[in-house]
Amino acid sequence: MREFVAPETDTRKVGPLKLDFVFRIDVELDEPNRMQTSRGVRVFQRILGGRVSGPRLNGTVHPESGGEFGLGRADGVDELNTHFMIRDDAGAWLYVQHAGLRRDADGYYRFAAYFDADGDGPHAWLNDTVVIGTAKIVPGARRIEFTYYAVS
Amino acid sequence: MEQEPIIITAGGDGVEPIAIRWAFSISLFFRDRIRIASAYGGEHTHRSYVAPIGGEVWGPRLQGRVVPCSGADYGHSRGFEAHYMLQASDGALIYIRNRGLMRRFDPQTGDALPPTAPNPQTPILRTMRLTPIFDAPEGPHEWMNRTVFVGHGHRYPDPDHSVFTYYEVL
Repeated sequence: MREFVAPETDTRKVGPLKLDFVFRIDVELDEPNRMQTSRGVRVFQRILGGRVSGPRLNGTVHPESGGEFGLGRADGVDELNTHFMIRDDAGAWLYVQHAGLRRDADGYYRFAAYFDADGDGPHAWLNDTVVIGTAKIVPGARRIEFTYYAVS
Repeated sequence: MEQEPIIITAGGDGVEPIAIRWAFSISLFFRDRIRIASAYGGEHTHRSYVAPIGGEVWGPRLQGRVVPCSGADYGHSRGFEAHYMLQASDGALIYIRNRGLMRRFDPQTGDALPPTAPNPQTPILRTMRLTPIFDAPEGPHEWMNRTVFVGHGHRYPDPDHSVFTYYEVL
C-alpha cells in the first residue's frame, strides 16, 4: 500500500464535545414480525404511538407512523434502524431516524439519531444537530424509552 | 502510549444517563477538493469529493494509520458521507463509514457559525459532529462492530487536513 508521511503540523489539537439532554420519547410497539434472510433475522415492529417530553421538545409520536427495523447479526448484535414521525404540541411535524446497535450479551442499546424539521420553524436546530441516545426496553411490555442527547 | 481515560457523562437526576469515552483520534490529509453543483435541492445543494492521501490514528483503543487514497468523503450540503480504510498497527484493515454534520466555526471560541457558501479552492475552518460505523475483522478490534461511536472533527487549511476525535458510547 502507498506510503504517506504526515507534514509537520499539530494534529493533537481537539475541540470540546458536550452532551445535553434534550428530550425523551416513550414508544409503544406492536408485535414483532420476523423473517429469516440471508443476512440475518429481519425484525419489524410497528410503533403504535408514544409521548415526547423534555426541555427542548414536547409532543406525540404520530400513531403507526413507523417502526423499528432490526437485523439480527450472527455475532449477537442487532442493527436497529428506527423511523417515525413526531407531532409537537403546536402541530409541527418532525421526521426521526435512528441507527442503533443492541447487544444480546449485555442489553447495551445505543443509537445515533437524525431529524428533519421545518427549516423556518422552532425545531430547525435539529436539522443541524447530531444526537445520540440510549434506549431502555421496558421488561414485560412492548415499550421502549429513548433518551436523547444533543452533541455540541 | 499510556493515556488518561477521558470520559464525558450527562443525564442523571431522573434522566437516563449516558457516558462516552475517548477511543482514538484520526488525522486526515487531503489533496483535491472536487465539487458538483447538484440541482435536486435548489441552488445551495452540492455534492463534493475529497480523498485522504494519508493520516495517523492514535489513542487508547486504536493506533495505526489511514490507508492513503482508500476512499473519500463524498459529502453533500448538509454534511458528510465518508468511506475509507484504516490500518491498525497490527496490520488489520478496518472500514469506516462516517456520517455527520458540518458547520463553520470560530477558532477562538470553538463556537459554530452560520453556514456560508463554501469555496472548494480555499478550505475554511469547519467543525463536524459525527456518528461513524466501523467494520473490523474478528480479533482484537471486533469490539468496534458492537459499539456506537460519536465524534467531532475540525478542518484546518494549509496543509488541508482534518482531525477527528472518536468516543465510544458506553
